[in-house]
Amino acid sequence: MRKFWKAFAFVEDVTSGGLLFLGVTIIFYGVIMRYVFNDARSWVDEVSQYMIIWGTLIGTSVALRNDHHIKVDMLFNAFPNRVKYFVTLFAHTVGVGFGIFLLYYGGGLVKFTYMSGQLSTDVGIPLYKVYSILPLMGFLLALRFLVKLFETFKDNGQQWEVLKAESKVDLR
Amino acid sequence: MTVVLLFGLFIAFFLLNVPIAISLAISTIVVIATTENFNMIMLTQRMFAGLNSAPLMAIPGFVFAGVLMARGGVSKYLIESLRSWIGHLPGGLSVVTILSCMIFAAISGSSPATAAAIGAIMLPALIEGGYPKRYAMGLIAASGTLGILIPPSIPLIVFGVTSDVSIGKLFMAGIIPGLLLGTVLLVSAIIYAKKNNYGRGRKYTMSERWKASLKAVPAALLPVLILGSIYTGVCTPTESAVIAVFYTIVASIFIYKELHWKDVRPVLVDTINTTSMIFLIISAAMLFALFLTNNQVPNHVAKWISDSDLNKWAFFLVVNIMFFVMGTFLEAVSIILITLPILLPIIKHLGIDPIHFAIVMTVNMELAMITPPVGLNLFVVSSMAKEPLGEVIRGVLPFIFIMLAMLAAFIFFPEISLFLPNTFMK
Repeated sequence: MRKFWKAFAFVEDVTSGGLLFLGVTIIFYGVIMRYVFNDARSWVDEVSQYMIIWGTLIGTSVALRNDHHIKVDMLFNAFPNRVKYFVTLFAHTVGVGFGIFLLYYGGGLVKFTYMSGQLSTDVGIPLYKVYSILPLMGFLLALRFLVKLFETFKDNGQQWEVLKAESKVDLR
Repeated sequence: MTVVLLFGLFIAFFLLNVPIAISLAISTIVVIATTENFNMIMLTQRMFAGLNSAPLMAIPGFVFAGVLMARGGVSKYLIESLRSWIGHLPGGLSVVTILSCMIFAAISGSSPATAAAIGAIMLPALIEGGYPKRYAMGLIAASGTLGILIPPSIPLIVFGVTSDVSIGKLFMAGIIPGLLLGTVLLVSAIIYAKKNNYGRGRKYTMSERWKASLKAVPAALLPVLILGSIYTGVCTPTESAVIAVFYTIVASIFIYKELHWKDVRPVLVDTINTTSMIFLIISAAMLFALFLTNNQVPNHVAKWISDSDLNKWAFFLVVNIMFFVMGTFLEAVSIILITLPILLPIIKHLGIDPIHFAIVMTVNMELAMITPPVGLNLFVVSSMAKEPLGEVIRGVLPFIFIMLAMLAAFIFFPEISLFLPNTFMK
């Protein structure tokens, strides 16, 4: 099971980082083509944006795993431990809810654009493919929040306390 | 009424430790779902559309360049060269700290990244040089905030995208205030060090100096490349960010030889962590903006303002207090995205130049980075120095007063911000 999550994290890191890097590279290619070869490529903007957005939206789950989504800790820190435990359960549940919202209604958007057959403006990529990142992101976030929920929940918050004390502060 | 409900929910969620981006999204979704007849599917479309803009792609670019700078040795050689020239003077090490923050700020668009990159090297150096740890921590947290004032700047990109103001002009407007604030910090550091006789590092020989400077040349050229490519009209800010990325990659691999295969994943993950965090906030804020326009909130506010006779200075006072309060617990990008749609019509009505306002707002956001309980630079420095947050806060306090004084100057003299863009970009 441990191995599975490690591999899962690896795939997440590589796809999100890889897509972002690819998008950045395409923008660079566009600049070179325009100024060195005087040949503007119209597809560059659209394709690079889609790639970077795909990368960063898959990355929301990476950032969640690394605790990079900024939270306000001031009231939380003032709570007694038992309350902290329940508040954490609540916060993760809200997170799961957000993921399910994206999964369900993002899926709805994919279905809608599939039926209507809309294409992107410059390159003509079917929009349902582009928008399929939304349910995917929802799935990843919901899964990640469920894992967090489970970890908090499993031994009634005992081990969680230890982990919480050891974990570093959120950066950025 | 529904606006009050939304804000109430938003505050309740983030106080209960739900990440800010998700608090904003969920509270908007709940309010829209219960009070409006709106197709929920279109909300998700809106979250995507909000990110689908070419100028926003500058954010991953500059974050990426900053991460590479910090890892690939570029910042290290920059600091080393500055140190070889002025490290031995009284206050020299604190001067090196501020100057390297200013140069790093001209490459990266983020304050915590600046504090982290420079602090990692200069914090141990300052302590070794005899500076009190508390002062060293405060200095790094404070001069790191220059990251978002000296262009490029992530908050200014977000401001430009939200308000439809040219990002190039906004960047240019940040130059003089950034240099001024940097200079004031420098002067204060020198006075402080002279008084206490701090910070005489080792004196370097002339040949060591030239050697260190030569190594720093590729790093020092980067800010020139970034700003130069934007202002000669060769590139958009997004493209210049991307050029900075590839320039840094080439410099770190072939000149500094400090970037290896094993660094690839950490570099990508660092970039993703920061960019995804910001993009999720932007995406959530798009829902919030949709709600505001649906309810014609900006129009109501504009009407309310033109009926009351609020003057410009009273507005600045109120808004600055509001930013200061919000800044103590929220971070820059969310504050800009939540308040700007409401403030823009007021700014227009009062005849304030949005570029001037952007700079005032950015200095406020700098303060937000170092005011407790939530100040990103404080977190960075405290985890780096392994000192409690309270200790860092005590160290940063004098700098907060310096920055407040400079903020007042930037408010009362719009020319400081407007001179460059008005002269060169008409």
